[in-house]
Amino acid sequence: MNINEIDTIKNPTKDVVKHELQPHKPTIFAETIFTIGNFHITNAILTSWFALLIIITISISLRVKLKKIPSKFQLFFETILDGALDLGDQVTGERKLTKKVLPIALTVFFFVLINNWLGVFPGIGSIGKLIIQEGHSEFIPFFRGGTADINTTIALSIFSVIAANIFGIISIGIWKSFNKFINLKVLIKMFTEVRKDPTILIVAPITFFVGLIEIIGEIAKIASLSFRLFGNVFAGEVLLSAMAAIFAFGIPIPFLFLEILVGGIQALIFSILTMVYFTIASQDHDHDNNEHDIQYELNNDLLNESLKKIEINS
Amino acid sequence: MDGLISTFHIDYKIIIAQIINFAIVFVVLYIFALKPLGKLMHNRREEIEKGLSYAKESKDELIIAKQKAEEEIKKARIKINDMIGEARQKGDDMIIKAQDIAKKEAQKIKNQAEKDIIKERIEIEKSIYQKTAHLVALGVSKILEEDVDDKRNVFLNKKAVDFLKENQNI
Repeated sequence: MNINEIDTIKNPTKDVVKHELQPHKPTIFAETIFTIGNFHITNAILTSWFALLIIITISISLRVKLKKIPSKFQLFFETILDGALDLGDQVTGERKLTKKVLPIALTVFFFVLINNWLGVFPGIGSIGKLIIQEGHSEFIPFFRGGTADINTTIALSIFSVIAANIFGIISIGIWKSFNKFINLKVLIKMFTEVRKDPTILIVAPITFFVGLIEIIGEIAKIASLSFRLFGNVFAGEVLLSAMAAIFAFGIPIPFLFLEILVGGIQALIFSILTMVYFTIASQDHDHDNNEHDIQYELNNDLLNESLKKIEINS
Repeated sequence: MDGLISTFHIDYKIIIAQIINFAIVFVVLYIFALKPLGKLMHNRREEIEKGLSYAKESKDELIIAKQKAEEEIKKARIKINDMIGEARQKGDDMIIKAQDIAKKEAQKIKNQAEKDIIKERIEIEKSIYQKTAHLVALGVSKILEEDVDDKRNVFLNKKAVDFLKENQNI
């Protein structure tokens, strides 16, 4: 007996009894539970609020119980933070940058992780209401994994990418950040350094065009982040419901564990990618270019000296 | 694009709501958990590092103190040995001095005793002579059976004494 049948028995109405109950198939979008004005409160939003509540509760209880000699609860989070710092160092390359980036990356990690895990939590996706539409009954779950809704993952991706760019502006300045996308600097160089290096006439437009591609790259970042997470989580939900449809007991258990693992991995991937975007945004491309220029000039000097020596010898 | 939006039910209002949701999570997590926890861990690490450096300093100081103590002990041993040597020397000197004094004293006592002995001997000899002479005089008077007056007595005594002196070594 599934939850739909239980719900039907608890609320027997003439209309419901008439229609055949269909097993719940996960939809690709989050269903609306209720509306506030024009705003649709979906089951994914409800789960996200629940996740928010969990994080707030844990954070406040951690703050209240914070001691110099840590309890097991505090030690658990200290271990996570310490591990995250070490992992962050591997991504950013320096502790100073890690300390700046880590709060956002860790928030992403916890938010995604809790939303992912809530998706496989008993009751999420299986407790809901029956709606009769166009002659057949439809089961709408009250809760749905927050990250199983593309709106949530897009929101997270937009936040990450915009925050990374703001961080980049703060780190290297607005002019350098702007020149990453619309490279006016290289266009100006094209006119000022054409005598010194005529190849700039070919290199500069390409560099400018690369900058424009960077803008598309930023949009691609949002798309890749959001669709990767959504795809994995939603696929997991489909897999679980398919397994439960085959046989409700026993068979879904290994897949539940798999989904718990996938939830953790996806949260980690999302947070690490966020850190990578922050690190890239905080790096000055001109610095690297200057290094190349210096190397180029050194090579030229060496070449000139060699030519002079050959002339003298000849 | 419209197809994508309608298929996935992409709604900008929900996206904004979720961004706000996430921002709240970030603020709460940062203010209540990450910042104080990070600060606490940083302080603890600093304290541990301070403690370790202090322990290292203490260890170094201990090593230096041990070295100093060993040096002092060495110095003290040398000093003690010197003092013992000096004391021994003084003791030996004192013994020698005491022995000299004792020897002198003994010699003095010995000399005095010899002198006394000689004196006594002379006195004893004198008295022996006198008594012997008296006995001789008595014997002679008995032999002669006559009274020997004082004049005669003195004469005989004198003669006897002279005789004894002459035959002292017999």
